[in-house]
Amino acid sequence: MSPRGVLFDMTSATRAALLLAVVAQACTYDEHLPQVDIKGTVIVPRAAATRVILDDRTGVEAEVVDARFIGPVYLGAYSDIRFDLENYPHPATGPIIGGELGNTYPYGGGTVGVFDFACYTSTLCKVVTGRYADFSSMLDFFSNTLDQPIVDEQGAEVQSPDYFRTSCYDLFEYTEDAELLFLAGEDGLDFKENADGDFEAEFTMWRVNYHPGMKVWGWMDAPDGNFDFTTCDPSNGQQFNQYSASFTTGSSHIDLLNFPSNYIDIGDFVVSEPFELTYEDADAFRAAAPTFTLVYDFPVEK
Amino acid sequence: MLRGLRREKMMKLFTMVRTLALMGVPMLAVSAGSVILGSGAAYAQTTGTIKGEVIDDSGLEVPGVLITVDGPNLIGGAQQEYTDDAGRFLFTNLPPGIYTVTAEKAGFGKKRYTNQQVLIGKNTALTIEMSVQEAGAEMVIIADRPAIDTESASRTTVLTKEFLERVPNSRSYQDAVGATAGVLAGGNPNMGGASSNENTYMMDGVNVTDPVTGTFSLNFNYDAMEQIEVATGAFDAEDATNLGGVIRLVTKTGSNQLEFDTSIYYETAAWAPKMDARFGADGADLAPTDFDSQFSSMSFNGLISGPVVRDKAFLVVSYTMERSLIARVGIDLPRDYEGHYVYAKLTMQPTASNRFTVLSQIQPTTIDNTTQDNRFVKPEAQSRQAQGGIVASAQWDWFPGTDVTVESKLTLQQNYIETGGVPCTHNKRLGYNPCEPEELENTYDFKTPGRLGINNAYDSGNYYYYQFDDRTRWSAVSKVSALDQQIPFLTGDHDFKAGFEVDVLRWDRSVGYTNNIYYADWNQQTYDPSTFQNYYWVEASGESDIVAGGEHYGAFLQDVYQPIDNLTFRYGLRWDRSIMRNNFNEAVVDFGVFGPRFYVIWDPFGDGKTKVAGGYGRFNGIGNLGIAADLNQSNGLGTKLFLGEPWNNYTNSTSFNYSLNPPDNTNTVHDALTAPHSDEFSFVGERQVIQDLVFGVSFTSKFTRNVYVFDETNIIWDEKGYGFIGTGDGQVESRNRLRTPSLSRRDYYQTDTYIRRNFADRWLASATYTYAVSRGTVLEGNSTALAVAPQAEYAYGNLGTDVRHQVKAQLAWDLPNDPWTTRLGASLEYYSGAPLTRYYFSAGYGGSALLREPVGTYARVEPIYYANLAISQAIKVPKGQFRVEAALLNAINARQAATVNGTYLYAQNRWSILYRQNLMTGRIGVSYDF
Amino acid sequence: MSRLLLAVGFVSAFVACDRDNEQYFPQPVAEYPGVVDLGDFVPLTISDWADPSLRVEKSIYDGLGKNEIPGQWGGATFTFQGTGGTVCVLVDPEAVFWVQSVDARSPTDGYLCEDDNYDDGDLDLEVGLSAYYNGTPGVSIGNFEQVYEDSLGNEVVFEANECQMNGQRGQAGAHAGRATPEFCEIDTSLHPGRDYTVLLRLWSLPADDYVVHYAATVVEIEAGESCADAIAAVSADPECALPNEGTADGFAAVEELYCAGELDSLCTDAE
Repeated sequence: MSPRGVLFDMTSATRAALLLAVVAQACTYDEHLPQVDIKGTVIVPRAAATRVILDDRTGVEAEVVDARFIGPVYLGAYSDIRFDLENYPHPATGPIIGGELGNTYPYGGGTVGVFDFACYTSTLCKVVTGRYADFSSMLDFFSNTLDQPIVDEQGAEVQSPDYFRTSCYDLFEYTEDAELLFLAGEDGLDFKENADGDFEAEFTMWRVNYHPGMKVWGWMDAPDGNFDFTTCDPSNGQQFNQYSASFTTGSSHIDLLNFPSNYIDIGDFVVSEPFELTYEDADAFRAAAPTFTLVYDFPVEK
Repeated sequence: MLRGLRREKMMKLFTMVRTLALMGVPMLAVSAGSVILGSGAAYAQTTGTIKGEVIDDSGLEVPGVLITVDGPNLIGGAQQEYTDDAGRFLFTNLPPGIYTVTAEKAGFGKKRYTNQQVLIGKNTALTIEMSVQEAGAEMVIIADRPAIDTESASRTTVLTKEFLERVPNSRSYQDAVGATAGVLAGGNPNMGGASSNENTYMMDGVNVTDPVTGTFSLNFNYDAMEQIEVATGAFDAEDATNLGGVIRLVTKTGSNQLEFDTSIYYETAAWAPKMDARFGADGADLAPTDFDSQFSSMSFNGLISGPVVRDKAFLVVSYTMERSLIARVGIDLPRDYEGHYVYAKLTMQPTASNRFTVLSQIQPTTIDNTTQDNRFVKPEAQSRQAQGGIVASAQWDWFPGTDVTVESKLTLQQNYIETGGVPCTHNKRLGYNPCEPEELENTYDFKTPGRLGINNAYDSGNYYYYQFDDRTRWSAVSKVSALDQQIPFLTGDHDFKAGFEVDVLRWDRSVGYTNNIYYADWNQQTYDPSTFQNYYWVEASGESDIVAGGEHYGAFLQDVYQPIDNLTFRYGLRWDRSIMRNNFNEAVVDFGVFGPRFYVIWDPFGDGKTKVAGGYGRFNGIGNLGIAADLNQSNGLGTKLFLGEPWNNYTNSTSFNYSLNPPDNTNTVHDALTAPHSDEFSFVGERQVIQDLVFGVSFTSKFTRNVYVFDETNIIWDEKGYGFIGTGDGQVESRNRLRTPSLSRRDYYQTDTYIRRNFADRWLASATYTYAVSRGTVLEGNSTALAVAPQAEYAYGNLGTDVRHQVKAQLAWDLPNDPWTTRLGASLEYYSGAPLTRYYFSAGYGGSALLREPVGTYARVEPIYYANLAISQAIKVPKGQFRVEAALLNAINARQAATVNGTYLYAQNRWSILYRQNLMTGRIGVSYDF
Repeated sequence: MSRLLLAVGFVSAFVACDRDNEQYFPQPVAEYPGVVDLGDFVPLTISDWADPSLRVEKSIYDGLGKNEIPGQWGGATFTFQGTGGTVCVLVDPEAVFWVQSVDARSPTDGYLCEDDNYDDGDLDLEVGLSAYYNGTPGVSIGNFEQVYEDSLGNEVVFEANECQMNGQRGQAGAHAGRATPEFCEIDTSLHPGRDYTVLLRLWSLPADDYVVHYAATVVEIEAGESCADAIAAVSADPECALPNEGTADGFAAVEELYCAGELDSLCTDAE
């Protein structure tokens, strides 16, 4: 063997060993996070998207079905769901500490739709993401369907989508519509009507602490007659402290999943059959990557 | 640690790192320096080598030629050896500097090569041609200097003493390194797309990186620098492991000549043209006005060096005093920096085979009026910061045999930062806080209202507390080098190296609160101190003491293999074990990792004038005590927040509205952490076009993975990460968790095109164009930006180091008017704008977390350009010479002043001009040396 | 070598400039230990509360110093039995809550003397069932954190402190700041006769003498009534047997005595 052959043999071997070490070190790293992302589909009944509207001109009441009536849908992962705590299925609770019902200590949760500030305080706590395609759709819905026209801070009705956009960009210093969470675009709307006439949407519960046997449950917050939502806290959210015009943008209450009974009220829809996850651990869940459907079929009546 | 000079009022545009911004680090360097690329940079490397071969007229090797190497910096006297059978010679462990190489053999003409530059860690490779016809004659060769190291693949720039003296900058090593390609200049620069806390700083082979922050920890005497090496990538296995770059400072060694150098410089911006300012330093609206920031500085320098024992012991002692007064826009009292740097190095070579080096550096410094971001701070409410530190090192180099070196070193590095209210003074110059007649100078007064920001003092963000912060590193390093070795049955030569190092780190920080309160105007606008309208105040519990500690063990094996003369393989393996403990003695960082390196360097024409090199290296981030200490929250560090009148509605139980940051440790560490690491692929091609002039291109791609981040495990977010809907344990508190997820990553690409003309024949020139792309999910090691990450994916976008276009150029010329030498120097740096980072606002829990990119249009900060000019004139006197210098820094007076409120551009925040990057300033200086 | 020694000496001298911090931190005070247990407490009735002399007689007036063990909480504990109704638990960290000049929001407005900022300390109030309290009374200060195990065996550390105050954004664990009273309504109807522990956690000490003097009490109030409604009216009145109680003149007299540092002439326990 020539010296040169030895040279290249050795170098190759060394290089191969080194590269192997690198590859091994890079590929063997697995965080084994105890959290998982849970994905699936929620179905809310047609009734949740139905509202009786009084036509001012004709005086006739009519049922209107519109996905924009669907409120935020909440999902939570719990140790158990019980049917004896409330008059609707409710997560098991822990010790009572100075209250009427204990904390549910959820493992995680998610939503389909969140409250977002649509640039005018007249819309505070009324706008849910994933429901509106564009400015025009919103203006039309609030003016013609709800009969609650959006007004600007001076009290004038907002009629122009361009004016709407300008107001938003000025307030948030945004540069594109895509930055406004409450505008989903035609393709980004959450809920689609299915063959049964109900409405369904995809969901993701981010980084849920995985425990085998846990159950996924949830409810949909239906708006009241004034199109207000019990799960929205108008004093929460981003603050605009401009002294003369200090306001907050509203956001969901921060303990919805911990004390759901404080927020579930008549007209809401609750999941009656929670989905149980039986995979051994988070890694097994990730390997299986299951998806499932959660039906919000239990109307809360009192 | 902060310096006092102009960097003070510079801003940090590139990294947008909140933590560093809070430390006041923001700076942008002036350019400077020589540009000599090449060289494998060694971890504790402070010397260079001269090697080569001797050939005759017909190109055959000539054995038995006596080679003599001599230079003023060479302790132990001239070194000699005979060429071997292959006509080769090698001189190692040469202190950097200028050398003369002489070759002589009976029957041949004697040859002498002068002006041979030895650089840190570099091979100066000579091919000496000897001719029989020249027998008896001596030929002096002055125009044959290697400009390319054809055995090195690393991307390094060595700034030599000659260049540091000529190319104008603000006379600090932090500024000087900004002249190099791939470095985003700043007090703590970003190098190779890495975070500014991922570099390593070495001083004479001693690691002086801050063990807590990973940033620089000490300032050094500029005039004591022999060379500065800036390495941005393709490190050998013996190099320090890190994700950024390495800055090595090598100080002067002394010589057999007694040398004395003293200088004084004064710099001011008082006369500079003013530019409009719209906002004060605190971001408050001001009527359009001139920038009224104040800047002046003065420094005094003295250096003496010479033989203690001729050829056996050299001593260098250097002293620098710096004082600067810098005020930001709208602030009355300037930041008053006064630092004293004392440096001493004793090098001894009692026998030919033993060399000892003992060095120490100390630098007591005080900074008064550290609050420069609030117009309402009264003098008596300002604070003082005392800082300083020590480096002490003892090194033994043993040369047991030919080309074999055993190097051992023990070092202590400690730095401290102490902050508190302004102590009293008898110095009437300061004009405030006079001591009572019987009171001792520098007595801290915690009793007298008004001195610590109480009531009408309006002390905001100031040191309402006092802090004593000591950071220490003990290290022991040992390395064995066996160069120019041959292995039986294997052609070629090997340079073997193996080493081991131990670092023990400690961070001891005590924080106390003088009176548990400070006030601030929430929105820095209108306020009413009588009613506390729009105010908040913070109350903190009494005291805390944190002790974090760690150890680092490193080992490497390396070989530089030259199977044939024009082909070099550099390969090796590095192992690092890192343990960083928090206050509870929990090992937050705990892992052992390998870093293989493999490079090939080819000199296609075999003439030492061309290099094509490339390779791969893995570099590991071994963490620092700051990462461990983020898990350090313990009793006594909580703060309460009192909210003024507008927030009254937020209370629901208490009679007043307060909130509490719980003092309990709510942070955790995920079970499986891995070391953040970079996989770097690099290529460089260089050609010496004509004598001393090199043209080159390089390309680097660097993929960094598993960067430290915090995520959050308790709060349950909605689908948009906008608000939260519950908590896991029923407490509305973040439970942050340290992780190294695969998603946390950076991708960096850099292409350099450069031309450089090394200093020779009175002039130098260099120009570099860099195109860089830096994208990823997190820039900062241990990102606090994602500390409250919602349950959503990280966004991938442009990072703060994504400065696409960078131009750097330097020029210096010594006019041929000896002995009245006139020097001209100029430098330029240009950076296109860095991207602004935008985050979604998260309504639920105090702030923003989710990177907004790639949604929306992204602004970039204004481009930065910076030019310096200098002229100096030597005036010979009977003994020695004076030199008078005049320099104009930021000669084009560029604005360079844009930044963003609060570092990040939140939705409701604005783009604003806070203060200028740098004023145009003038500097005059006089030095005398003999 | 003498040069070397000189260098070493020089270095040592500069290192010596690095100071420690001991002289700046509060130190323990012998007369006032940092952890105390005050034993059982019998809640006042609302009529007791309305009577200034009974209020002083039956309430707690004491002082707390720094915990002798660095880095550990100091504080005081006492217990009371659930009355079956609602009680108001109150702590005033300065025992001078009738002197409004310590209100940080308006420290000087309308009063004769300025607040002494260095005389203010802070106690934080927590109340819960004694069964949930995990400290050792008189030895070490604990909290009301307990572990709940759900049906799947998952353990959650939960907070059993019933005196929950929330911060601006709803953060748990909020407390009033220095020199400011804290109070809570505790509904004991679920646990009549059971022991409740009141924890006064020492948050910060005044800078002047490192002792926080405080008053604490438990008062029975009507169910559904808030502490503020039940006791606010009387809490603003002078605490001790004062001249011309309840009148402006009387108030001014109290202030003068307070400012002169002679309040002790009226109230044995107050500063």
